[in-house]
Amino acid sequence: MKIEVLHSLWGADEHVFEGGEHEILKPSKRLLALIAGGAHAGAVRVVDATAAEQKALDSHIQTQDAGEAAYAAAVAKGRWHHGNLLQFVIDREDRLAYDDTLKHNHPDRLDRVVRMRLEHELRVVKARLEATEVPT
Amino acid sequence: MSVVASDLVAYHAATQSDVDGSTVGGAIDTLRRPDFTQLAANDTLEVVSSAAGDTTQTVTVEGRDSQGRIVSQTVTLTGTTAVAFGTLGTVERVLKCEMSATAAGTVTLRRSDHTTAVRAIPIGERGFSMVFRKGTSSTSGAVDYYAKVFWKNTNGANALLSAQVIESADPSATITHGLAASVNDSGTTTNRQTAPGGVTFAGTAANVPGTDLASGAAIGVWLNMHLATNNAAIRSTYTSGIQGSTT
Repeated sequence: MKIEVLHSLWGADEHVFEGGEHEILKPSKRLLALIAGGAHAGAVRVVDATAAEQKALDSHIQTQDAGEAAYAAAVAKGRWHHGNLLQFVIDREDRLAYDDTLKHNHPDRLDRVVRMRLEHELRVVKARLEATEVPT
Repeated sequence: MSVVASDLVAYHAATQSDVDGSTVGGAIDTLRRPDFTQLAANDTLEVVSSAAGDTTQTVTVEGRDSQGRIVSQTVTLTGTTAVAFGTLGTVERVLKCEMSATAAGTVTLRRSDHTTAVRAIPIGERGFSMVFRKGTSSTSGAVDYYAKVFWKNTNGANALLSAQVIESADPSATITHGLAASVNDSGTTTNRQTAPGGVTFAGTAANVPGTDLASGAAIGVWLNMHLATNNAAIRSTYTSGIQGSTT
């Protein structure tokens, strides 16, 4: 098969491909999965593939519709919430850390009331996160 | 249950573009988010899931290396054992992270120091990316870029009352915002350099059409990045926010 790497460099396991076209002889199942993922993310383009290779590539990528169904199911079952709460904590901690770097007259500096609100939200969500089971 | 801050989630629109000539905007894409914590310093990256069974999904990370080159790597998840992006090497910034399929666990992209997360990807979602990640200024005049994101109220019961979208932080002072004319819209614009019709851009708080953001509803937020002629390179962030009251 032939692929075109659309970035300056694309890595797949031990393989390192510079930007441009590359001929790959008999790609392994594992490499096909990585090529499928890379192509889906816009890092590479499949220029040429056999029917069997194309089938393997297609089978590895979840469709948007299937992804949306998985999202709806994860929200309904409550499994989505752990990641959402975890990300909220990461985000709020980052915003408060950024605020700590600002001088008092900086336009992005949080006023006292807003900062207290963010700190309160962070405490509340951290407590909720700690009470949420880590999905395994 | 009252609407709480973590119920208000930012998502990408269905069509993003990091090249000229493609349509931008559309309906909400609940699989991908526009927000993450950019690297504070050049570093290597790794990805890990909270579920041992996540061993088939691939994760592709795109970034810029210390020379400014766009580089990427695709790895396969190995469950709760972190996978290093070894080929990617040290990156200066993350541009995009995309999974081939949803996972059974929460997937976290983090710096290799194990303590600093770039982002957690909740179960049912597929990734995240930077807005305006490959825009460039011009030598012959100012350039405007447009992108669309959404704020969604994921609270299962209550509306966010008197909802307003705000600019929480704009350190580079290059971005303004404007709201879609109605909630849950799917409006597009011709390409990333064409302003969407009927949207007024400003740096001030914008009222959500219909006053309240209902349970499950999402409001489209168009962003405009204005680059002056020969604008110096920008490595910055932008923080959108949504505020209101709740019962």
